[in-house]
Amino acid sequence: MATTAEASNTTTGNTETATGKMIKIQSNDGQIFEVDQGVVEQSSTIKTLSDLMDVGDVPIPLPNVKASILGPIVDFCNHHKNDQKPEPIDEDDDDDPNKDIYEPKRSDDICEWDLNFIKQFTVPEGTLFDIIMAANYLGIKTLLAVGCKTIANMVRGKSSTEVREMFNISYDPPGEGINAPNAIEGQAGTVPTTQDANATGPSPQPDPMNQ
Amino acid sequence: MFFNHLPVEVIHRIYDYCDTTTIFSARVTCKQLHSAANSYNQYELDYNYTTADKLSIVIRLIPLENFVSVILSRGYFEDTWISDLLSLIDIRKLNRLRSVALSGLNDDELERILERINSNFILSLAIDFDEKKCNKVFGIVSSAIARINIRKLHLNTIGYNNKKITWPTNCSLKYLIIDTCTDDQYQIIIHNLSYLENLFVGKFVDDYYENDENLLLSSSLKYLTIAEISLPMKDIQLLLLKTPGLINLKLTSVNRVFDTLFNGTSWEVFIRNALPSLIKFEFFFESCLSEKHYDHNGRCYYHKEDYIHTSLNSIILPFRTPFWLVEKCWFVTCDFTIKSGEIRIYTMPAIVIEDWSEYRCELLPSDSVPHFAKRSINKTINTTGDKTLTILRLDDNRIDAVSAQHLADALKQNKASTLTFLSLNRNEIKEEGVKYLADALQTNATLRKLHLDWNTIGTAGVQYLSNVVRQNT
Repeated sequence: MATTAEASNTTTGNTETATGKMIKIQSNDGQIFEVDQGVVEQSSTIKTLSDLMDVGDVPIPLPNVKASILGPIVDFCNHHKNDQKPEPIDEDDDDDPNKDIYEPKRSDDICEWDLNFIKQFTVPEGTLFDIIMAANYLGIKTLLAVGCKTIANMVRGKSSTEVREMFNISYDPPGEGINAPNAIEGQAGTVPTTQDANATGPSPQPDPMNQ
Repeated sequence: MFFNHLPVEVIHRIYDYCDTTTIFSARVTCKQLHSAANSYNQYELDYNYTTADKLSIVIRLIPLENFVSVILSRGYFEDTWISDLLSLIDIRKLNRLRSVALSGLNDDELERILERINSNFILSLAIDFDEKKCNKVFGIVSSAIARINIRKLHLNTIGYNNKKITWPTNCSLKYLIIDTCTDDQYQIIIHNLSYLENLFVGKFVDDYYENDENLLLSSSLKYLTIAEISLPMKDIQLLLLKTPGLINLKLTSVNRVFDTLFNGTSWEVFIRNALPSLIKFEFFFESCLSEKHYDHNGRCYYHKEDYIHTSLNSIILPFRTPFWLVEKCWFVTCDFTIKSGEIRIYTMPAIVIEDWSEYRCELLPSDSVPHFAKRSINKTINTTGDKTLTILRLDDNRIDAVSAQHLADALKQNKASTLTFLSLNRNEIKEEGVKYLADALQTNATLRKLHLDWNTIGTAGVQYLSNVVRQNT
């Protein structure tokens, strides 16, 4: 693919890690990819599965990922397998009082290779969300972060109407939920009581940021 | 697949990278994003983006325990919004707060906020202030770090070199970023903060504080960065002796005399003895040749009498021992900037960000002889641009005999130099400098034109050149 052509001339050293044994993974449409340990290490899901199954030559089935997404993911992991591992921070446990550093999360630090990589996935085709879902399912934190940062960069500073248009968000059926016609018409749409339990306050509420 | 089909945990990951205003825009687009916003519990209370009106709405809609971060900055406006804000929210109820950043607040406001903080989670506190508003600030900060379990403190002050903070010995600070620090304060920090692992000092201020006490230290400091230090080498070594457990060390020192700081052997001996666990050593040292003077155009020049030429090769040699290259894998570049006349040595990749690209004679870790270079030192080594450097115009640069000698070193090697045209009009090369250039030309076959107008090279200088031209056909 043209967008990742830069991968070949990176200057990040030529340390070829010991590849160890190769593992086969299979997309839900039957395509088989062979990956080395450097790739397996980046995906907690594949790592767990390969440890559990002690697979040998049998491909690990990945029922949630299709080949057109899995292929680029393998490329991504191959590119990043020699990256320096960050300090192990358990991001999932933000309330851990022993956690030392709280850093606000930044979205302007996507490296050039990753920017080019993520460009091949788009919103209209839905592939950008496919790759995020796949990264989430496969437990590839770095790729999930790149995807989420990309979305965050797209919506930053946008009004709710712009967000709706950008992501072609389908409205709830008219008269129901928060997307009742009167909520869409004016910018200062209403946020009536929704079915979800977490909705706050009595309805209607103004759209606070678009007045 | 659409945005709103993503599972809630992924939407939360996206919200992690959004400011509160943006989350509120997403919130009203559809049901899924709305409920994801309501269940999100990592909100930032950020006054940089929002106005007071919007902020009051945000506060009404988000339960206070869902805020993890508060960012308050007065900006350019002298108004009462911070008092208004404090009447709007009860800081005490922000019980999941982990990060607080306060900028430009006055004593009262700082005190009101800091003494109300009621979270056991506070990990990061950043305070920016200038001297006009704050007299009591150091007392406030001292009592705050004694009371709250802070792990990371970022202090940025304008106009205060000496921060009169009584660093409490029982405080659990692990990470400290401080814009300026005096010798005196540094000793106290290292002595008192026994949990401190990571220290960043923007500028080290030498206050000639006489401290003969040789305190027995159990410093746990592992990472030390000093972005600006001008102490002599022996004082820097005394400083580093206090932190024997260092793993990472980053030092920048510019505008200094050419002393033992530039000596690879003395660093090697020192690190072997005093810093046995050091894994990463990054530095950028820059020395002017001698005392710097400025002419009426603001250009600097030197009295060259007290300067002896040291070739780049002789500087780099002690940095190429097995200790540097094999044991530690620290690679050092040395260069001489032609226009400003500075010798610089730095580890690769360079830690100083340089936007301009200066003409220089450069000796990379892979080089055996100096070559001319122009790319920025931060650029990944891609010498193709430099290799084709064929024309060099250095007119009117006060280049003296000493600089000419560095130029000659780079010219000398036929293979390394691609230069065909060198213009040195209206410099101060003089007879002595021409001698070096003429010597270099004997082994250089690529240079076709050399301009040396207005350099007071004298008849002897002309003689040197004509000898070379006769030989070098």
